Amino acid sequence: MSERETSLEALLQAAYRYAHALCGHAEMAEDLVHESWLKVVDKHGPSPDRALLFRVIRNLFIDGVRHRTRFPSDSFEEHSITDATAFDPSHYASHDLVLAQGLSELRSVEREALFLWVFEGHTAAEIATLTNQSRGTVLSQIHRAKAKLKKSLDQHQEQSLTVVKHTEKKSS
Amino acid sequence: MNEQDERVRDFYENLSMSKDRVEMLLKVAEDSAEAPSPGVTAVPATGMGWRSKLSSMQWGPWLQTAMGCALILMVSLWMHTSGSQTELATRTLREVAMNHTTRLEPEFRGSSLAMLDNSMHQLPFNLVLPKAIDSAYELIGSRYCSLGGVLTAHVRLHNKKSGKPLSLFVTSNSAELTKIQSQQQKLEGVEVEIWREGGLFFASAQRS
Repeated sequence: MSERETSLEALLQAAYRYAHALCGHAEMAEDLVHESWLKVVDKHGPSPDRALLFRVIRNLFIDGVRHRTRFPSDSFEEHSITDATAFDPSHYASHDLVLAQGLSELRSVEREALFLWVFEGHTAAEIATLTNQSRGTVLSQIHRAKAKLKKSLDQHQEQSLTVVKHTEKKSS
Repeated sequence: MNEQDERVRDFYENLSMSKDRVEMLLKVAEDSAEAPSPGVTAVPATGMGWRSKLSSMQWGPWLQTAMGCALILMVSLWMHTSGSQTELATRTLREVAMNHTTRLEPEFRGSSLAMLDNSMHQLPFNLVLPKAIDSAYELIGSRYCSLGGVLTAHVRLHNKKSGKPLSLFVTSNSAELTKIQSQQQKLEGVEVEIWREGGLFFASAQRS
């Protein structure tokens, strides 16, 4: 694989992670990246800019959400499908399934803010610029996302402990 | 960074798009690099003037639209022209038939064409008889009239055998009359024929 291909693949994987952070669904994220990639390559050539690609992904995602809100009749089916498969463990075979479940329960804006903060290493001010929100909003989104995630992880841990205790009781 | 953040980081680190999809998208980029569309790489991203923008635009759809418009324009123009030509021909045929049926007396009488030609000074051409008028017809006389607003010689003849009168109209080929095609029609019992010969416009009318 050439150097160019390697860098393009890295860009695609980064774009995929961002798309996943937005929609919280593996297949939808792939489709989002696919559509955005075609758009950007067609308009701006075969070596897309990272920031531009991320912006297109974000805009397409927002368009999709708006479309589903505006046309609830066709979104009903789509929404229910999305909900049903929003967290499909088969997509995360070698992953932290508990965390994946917890992330899937967050709102998209919270998940996005958390991703940009924790994974991409952006500051709250940078995220505010990228997402066109105030810094305060971003900070509260991150805070809420972390709290929700912690709650989800704690709940899961509690359930696991209960199951272990129950099994130990049975065996004794 | 706390433990939860580390888990989130690891989670996203381990996420990856399917190999098939990556290959597909890389191929798209590769194809785009090999065969750049005129609107993409033919024009540099910076310093692009309006001239280069214009030259890089895809003219196909515009050209098709322009050609379509031109075609519509030509068809409507042709319909308009042919419509007005038909109208002009009908009007002239009616004029010929009417001039024949009104049977107005000739202003100049004479049995020779030269005599009539000499008498009709105002005609901008020499009065001649067409090939179709042979010795079977005899001249009676002539008068001035107009066809399509053009000064015309109305020559009256009759068939020697049957005595059937015939009107012959001779005029110069004006811009209006040249638009009328040679034709033959029957109008209210009068057979009217229009044709060109020797640089002149002829019309004949007789009862059928």
